[in-house]
Amino acid sequence: MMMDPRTAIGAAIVAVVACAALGAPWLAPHDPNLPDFAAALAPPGASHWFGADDLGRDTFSRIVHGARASLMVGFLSVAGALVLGTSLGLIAGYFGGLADAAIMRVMDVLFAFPGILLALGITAALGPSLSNAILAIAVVNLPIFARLARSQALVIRSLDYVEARRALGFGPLSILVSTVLPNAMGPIVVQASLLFASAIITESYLSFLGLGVQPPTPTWGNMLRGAIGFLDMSAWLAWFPGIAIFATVLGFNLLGDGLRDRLDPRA
Amino acid sequence: MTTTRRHFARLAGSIPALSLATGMGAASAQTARTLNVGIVSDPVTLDPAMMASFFEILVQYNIHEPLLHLTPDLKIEPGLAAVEIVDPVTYRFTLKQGLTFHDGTTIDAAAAKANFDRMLDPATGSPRRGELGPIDAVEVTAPLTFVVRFKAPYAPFLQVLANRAGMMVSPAALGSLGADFATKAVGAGPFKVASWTKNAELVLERFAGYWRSGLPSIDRVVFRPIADETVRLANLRSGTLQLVDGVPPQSVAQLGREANIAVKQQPGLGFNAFSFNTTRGAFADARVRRAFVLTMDPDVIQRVVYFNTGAPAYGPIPPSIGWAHDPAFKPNRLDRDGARKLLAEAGHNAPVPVTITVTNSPLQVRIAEVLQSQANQAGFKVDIKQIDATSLITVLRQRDFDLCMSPWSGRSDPDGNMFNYFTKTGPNNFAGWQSDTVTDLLTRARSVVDQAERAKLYRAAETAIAADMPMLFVHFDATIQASTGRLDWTQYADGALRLQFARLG
Repeated sequence: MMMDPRTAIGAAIVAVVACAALGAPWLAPHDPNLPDFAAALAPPGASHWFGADDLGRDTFSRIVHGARASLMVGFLSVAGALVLGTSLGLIAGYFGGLADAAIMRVMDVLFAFPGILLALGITAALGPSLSNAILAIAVVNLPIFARLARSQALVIRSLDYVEARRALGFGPLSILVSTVLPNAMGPIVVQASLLFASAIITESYLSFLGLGVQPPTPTWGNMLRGAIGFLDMSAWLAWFPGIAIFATVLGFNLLGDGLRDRLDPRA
Repeated sequence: MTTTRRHFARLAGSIPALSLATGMGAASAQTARTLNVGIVSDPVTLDPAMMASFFEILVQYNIHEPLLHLTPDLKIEPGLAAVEIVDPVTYRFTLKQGLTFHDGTTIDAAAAKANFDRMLDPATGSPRRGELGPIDAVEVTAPLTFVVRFKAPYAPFLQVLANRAGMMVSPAALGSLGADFATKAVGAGPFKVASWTKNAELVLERFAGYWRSGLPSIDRVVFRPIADETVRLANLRSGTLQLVDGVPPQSVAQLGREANIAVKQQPGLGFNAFSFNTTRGAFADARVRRAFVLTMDPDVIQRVVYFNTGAPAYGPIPPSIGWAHDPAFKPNRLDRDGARKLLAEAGHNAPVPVTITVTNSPLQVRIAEVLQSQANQAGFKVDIKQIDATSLITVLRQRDFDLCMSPWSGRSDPDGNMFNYFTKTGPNNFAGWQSDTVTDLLTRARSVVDQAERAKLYRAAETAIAADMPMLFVHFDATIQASTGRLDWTQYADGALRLQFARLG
């Protein structure tokens, strides 16, 4: 199987980011949270490859540690939304009737809010922290998975092989898990890879506004926030987290497009 | 041909209206000496009796005129009125002749009394009531003369009258505008309110009846709230704004090198400080508070966060109030061993977990991160919690914090920086600190008239505060503002703009 070059680039970027996140403690030459006031605003150079921030913390070390926050938020929020949203969507689509109406109206309510507004509201209400940011982004993505899974279940439930299982006497739960779910997964996985990118962006928004991970723990979003006061004099403080967000989101989107070409029957 | 010309004329005529409708008014803004001012946030109200926000300071003296005027070096001069101190509890005011409010009604002693009565009426709920002190009565003695009598001597009175409490508004407009007075205020200042679109622009127009004849020389002032400091400065550089407030310390050096831009800075009147919660948690123990203060290196914050603008703070009296400030007063310096010893005395053997609460202002977050890294090296385990700016006052009042930023814009008299923060029932006593000694010292300092005597009392209070540390004093911020080079204007320590004296070249 030949990989499409764009997909390969996407996969490579994602692999680099994942390695940075996993290997951060070994890759980072400095403690990302330890200020060195003598090095404040040092430009990129031999001792600080990406320069140092206003408190003298090493930007390269903060970028690789920031990858952890971004990937963790992306992974956990998308995984949470995927598991719960897919389950609800399959139940709604397969059983129809009251279950369908009840579940999907709740999802419609969640859908009615613009995503970023809903995430802001949730983190503002629950208080700013990493776990609340994950929860907020998961809730935003929940109805997307629910709708997608429901539409898949609606199609699959009337297909011949499902009828056949039913005729053989399998119960609805068994059919849902062993027959409907595996056949519905293609588009859901594609969606997950694309939402991964948007979850990383949403986390950056939240951290930028001070509603995500709390200082001094670095995330690309709060690094950008810290950089805005220094755009005149030390613009690199904004470049590196900006490039990190841009490249990572690009990587996940390319990978998601590639997966769609391969997995989504409609593509 | 005629049709074309008429069409063109109509088109041309519609351009100013169109550009106004789009909100920026760029075409009209450049004509007839208009000054566009970038401010950090909109005022909450334009009624001086009800003002309680820092952000009104930039606007207030342009719409309203106080009875007395504060000079740039903090001296009191006559304003709408001249004052004579008859005895320590009696002040006689004589208003200038022939003055009117923006609505054309006369400024006389009856109007002044109506203003005092309104501020002193508990039903008004004015923050000015406390500032005005123990007033016994305001009596009109002639059409332009009135007397204010106190129950006890109240030294800060004249300084207070040079601020919001001395700003006279039109009693007739108060009656006719009702609740709308807060947005359409009618005063006696150099400019009158033309329009106010919340969070977009507050437009003021020159008041021809202003008491300083010939002033102001500027025809229109437009205040534009722009929260982001980078955007404010970008608008100054592009010429959209001619004057901006809230220049961040790190931009001072860069702006200073730019042609056509002038940066002004001077010591401010306030302080940047954090309140310890003395009512619960680890900081209820004064030894833990003192230990935390000893972990801080004031010079690092001065250099790294403030880029050597302003000065490190050790108490609530800034250097700008020269007669009360004591430059030798430095009760604490970095002492990590001392901090660990105090914590051990207080029975803490493991790092003490505490939370610093700040708004998401980059400067305050930066300070919190410096405090965190320093305190973590000497026996604390500090978390930082960011809240949005609008929740700050609630968090402080409910004492839902361990250590929370509580900066103060400052007043020209030390009483204004201390009484509300350190007396037992003071409205800004967020620390919940109960000191009989300091309450007594500050109450006495209000009633003593001799300035040297007052200075002694304030210094004694400052020493008592440092011994128990209900607050962590961080910095005396400088007032830093920038303008286009062709604006000639005077900066005041309190950061307030008094644009009657400004000239656009």
